[in-house]
Amino acid sequence: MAKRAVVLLLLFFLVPLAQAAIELYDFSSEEKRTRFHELGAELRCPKCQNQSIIDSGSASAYDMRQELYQLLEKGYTDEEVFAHLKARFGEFILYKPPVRGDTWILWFLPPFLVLIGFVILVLLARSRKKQAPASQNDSVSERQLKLKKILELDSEQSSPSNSKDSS
Amino acid sequence: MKRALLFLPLIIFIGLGIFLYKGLSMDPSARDSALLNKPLPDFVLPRLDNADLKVSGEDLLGEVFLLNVWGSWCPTCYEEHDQLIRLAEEGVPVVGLNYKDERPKAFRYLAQQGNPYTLNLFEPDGVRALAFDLGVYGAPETFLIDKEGIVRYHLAGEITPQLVNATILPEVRKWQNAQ
Repeated sequence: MAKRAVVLLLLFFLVPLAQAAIELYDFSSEEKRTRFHELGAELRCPKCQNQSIIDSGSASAYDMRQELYQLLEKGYTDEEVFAHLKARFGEFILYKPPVRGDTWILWFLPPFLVLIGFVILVLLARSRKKQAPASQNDSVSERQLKLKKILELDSEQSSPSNSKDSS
Repeated sequence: MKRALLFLPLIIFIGLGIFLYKGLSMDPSARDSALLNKPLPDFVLPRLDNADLKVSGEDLLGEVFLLNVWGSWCPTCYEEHDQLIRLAEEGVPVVGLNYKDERPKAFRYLAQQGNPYTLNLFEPDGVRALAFDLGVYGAPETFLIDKEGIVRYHLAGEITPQLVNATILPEVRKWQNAQ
């Protein structure tokens, strides 16, 4: 009985192994293996909304991985791979769209907004500096004098009420 | 000037609201095929009903036809099947591309649902031929091929009765009449 339980337990360990072994690519060089993963991460699965063909489990992404593997083994350059797949699946699959008239907003709006934010920050800081000088011209002793007066006034006002509370 | 600037966040908010609201009613999976207005890719595929008979692109060209990508595993294909039968009855040649399917299951599908296809090509799982070159990423997908073999219309998704009346039949007639 115990033996059976152990065997059953060991079988559970087989499950992740079996899944991990589904896809094997026998690359002719390590360089191609790295490029496979780099390019695969930049290609968007056509079936899914936002997954690369490496991440996606869909049949369509599987086909594209197979094709990518074969293209790399055939000696295609990165540009040729992109062109080959774009001719079939359209620009949708490129995570890095080309810089063009209708895509400039994608490329340049974010840095433009950061720049605007930076400009606003600088302007705000400047306008504060302009308001500040009146109080900054006071010397340290003058400011301490002012503080003392405020403190004295405060203690005069609060002491009678305090004594009432305590009595 | 300063007072006008106070309204800037509101204006930005309204602009963003309109932009995002528009996005709600857009279909992110609707996009034009890369093959639109390009020639049908070359291919040689076996027939579904006879693995020994090979069909190439040249065998199909010469008349306007619809190429419908389907599979017995695809629920939407059942949904649109009546429209394919109607198109066939209207005299539109519909060539089937049986995609990632198995022959016995495909035969059962045709026997049960009826067969509107003039001919069926067979591209099972593991084969990357016509469907891959057409950028097919699911089923059903439908392409309209003109007399010269140019892709003139593409639909990813279900053929509805409205689409048949408003788009597909007019497009077919238009390209049939084109010289």
